[in-house]
Amino acid sequence: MIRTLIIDDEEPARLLVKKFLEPFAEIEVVGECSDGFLAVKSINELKPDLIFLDVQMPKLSGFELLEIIEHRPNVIFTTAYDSYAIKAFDQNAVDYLLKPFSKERFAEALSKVMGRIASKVEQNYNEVIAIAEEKTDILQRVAVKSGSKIEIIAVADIVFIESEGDYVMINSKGGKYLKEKTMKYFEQHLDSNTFIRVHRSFIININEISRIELFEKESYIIKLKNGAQVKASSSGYKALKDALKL
Amino acid sequence: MIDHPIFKNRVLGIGYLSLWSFILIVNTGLDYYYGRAEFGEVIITNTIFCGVFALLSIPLWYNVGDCMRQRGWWLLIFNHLATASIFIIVWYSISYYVVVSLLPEGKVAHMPKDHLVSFAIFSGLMGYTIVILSYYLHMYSRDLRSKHENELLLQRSLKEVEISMLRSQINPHFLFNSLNSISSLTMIDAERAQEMVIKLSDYLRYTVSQEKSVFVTLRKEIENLNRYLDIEKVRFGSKLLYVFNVEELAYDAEIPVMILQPLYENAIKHGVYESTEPITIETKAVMDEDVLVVSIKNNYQEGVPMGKGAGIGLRNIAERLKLIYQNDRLLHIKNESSTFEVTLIIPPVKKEQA
Repeated sequence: MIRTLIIDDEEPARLLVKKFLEPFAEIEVVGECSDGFLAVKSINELKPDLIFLDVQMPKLSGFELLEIIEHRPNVIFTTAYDSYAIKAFDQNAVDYLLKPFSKERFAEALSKVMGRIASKVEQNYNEVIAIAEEKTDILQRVAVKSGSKIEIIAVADIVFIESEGDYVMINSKGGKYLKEKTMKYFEQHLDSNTFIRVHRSFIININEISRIELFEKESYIIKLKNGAQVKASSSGYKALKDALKL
Repeated sequence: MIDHPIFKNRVLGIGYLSLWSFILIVNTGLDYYYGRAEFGEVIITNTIFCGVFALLSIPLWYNVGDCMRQRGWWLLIFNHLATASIFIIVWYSISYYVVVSLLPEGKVAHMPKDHLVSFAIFSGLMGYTIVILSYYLHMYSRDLRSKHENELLLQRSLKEVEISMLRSQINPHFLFNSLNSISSLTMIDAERAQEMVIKLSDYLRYTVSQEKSVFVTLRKEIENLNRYLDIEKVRFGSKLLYVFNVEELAYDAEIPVMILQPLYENAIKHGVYESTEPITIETKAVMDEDVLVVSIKNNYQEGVPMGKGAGIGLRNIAERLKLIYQNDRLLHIKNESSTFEVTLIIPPVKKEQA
């Protein structure tokens, strides 16, 4: 039996997938989820073999979801219209369905995945996530795992980001969260009018600065509203001055 | 009216007169101081020489205009040299004979010939050059200004085209997701599927057929918005609720076609789509004398940023209202305690706009 989970925020879309799955005796639908949060919970609990995953969903997109789940099922992506995602799927031979899709197209994608499950070939969609992230222009929110919970941090609540080896520590108004991402990624995907990389190890939210002091020749200490202090290099200080129009 | 800057523009006319008066005063002063002639004679002589020069300079404007259109430096130089020579001969002969006939015993009448010629060439060329250069200057600045104005005009009409394109653009997300809903409904509820196909067709027909008209009644717009929301309701189910509170009189008010549509698309994209709880879109329309006030309000889930996508749609609406009504204070946005509200103020349609 292939344990299958259907994830889509639109009910008619879920119904259709369920209907199309009916003739396949080896498929067992173990659940349906109407948003990304529920889906993460269900995937970690039910550990399905296969998920049908809508790319655009409230709170947590399909790609954001894949990033934080622990169990890694096979995925058939579904999307109505997302040229970037489609390009990423094609380049990486990932199975996807363009809404609306025919029964034949559905069966084709399904049989490919079933073949892979039977031969125990693991599906690799890290590349797809990477490409999708590349194309996201400016982040509005960041999804992080904190223990078994998922937290969504609104970008405006981020006070500063500190590099921690292969990870970054996101210091937000609600707390600190570790995320497996590079400083460069955040530097490129946060609004550059608000977030400035003041140092190799720090990106700060300029709305959270309380004061800037000279530390030594050519280096500065930035005091933030939450009490934290970060160092700024001379080039970082220059960027900051530009952003603050000093 | 004659097409000449000093006749068309009062400031330039007065400027031209004052300039020549100034030259006259300076010349008279110098001539009296160094010339050792009688004051009355000096005044008459200079007034005639300057006055004739000033009058004859007026038609030079047209020659400068011709030169601006000509190509080639040689032709240009030749043109000016020829014009200057004729100009100086005409100017000097007229002035000379008038002065001599008025003052047969005066200084000019007794000057040696070579003296007269060198004076004519020197002051004539100098005056000619100054007049021509100021004409050129004026022409360049005028052309620059009109070029700038043309550019603004062009930009505006481009914007209009752009907006009409945006207006008739159908959101592909909406279209494909709706088709997917229909595909699903055909399997489970054929009757509803058929209903939805009709609604979608009516909506699309309205969208593509309204391209040419600028204004429609609020009634027609709301009919179409209802189709749109009904279709979205199939996708989102109980997550999407909507209410229309429209004053009877307001239904007949005229509004720019499809101007409200993006507001509902925004409410769905940023409110309904990003939410896991029910979202209500509330529309209120009232008449304030002959001005229509429409407000569209939706709640949204806390923590969902009203992303920058919302900005583009709103900017387009503001831009359109500004173009149509020449007023940039017709769109108001309020965003507080998880409620997003947009208010449009639609003035009555003037005859020439319709």
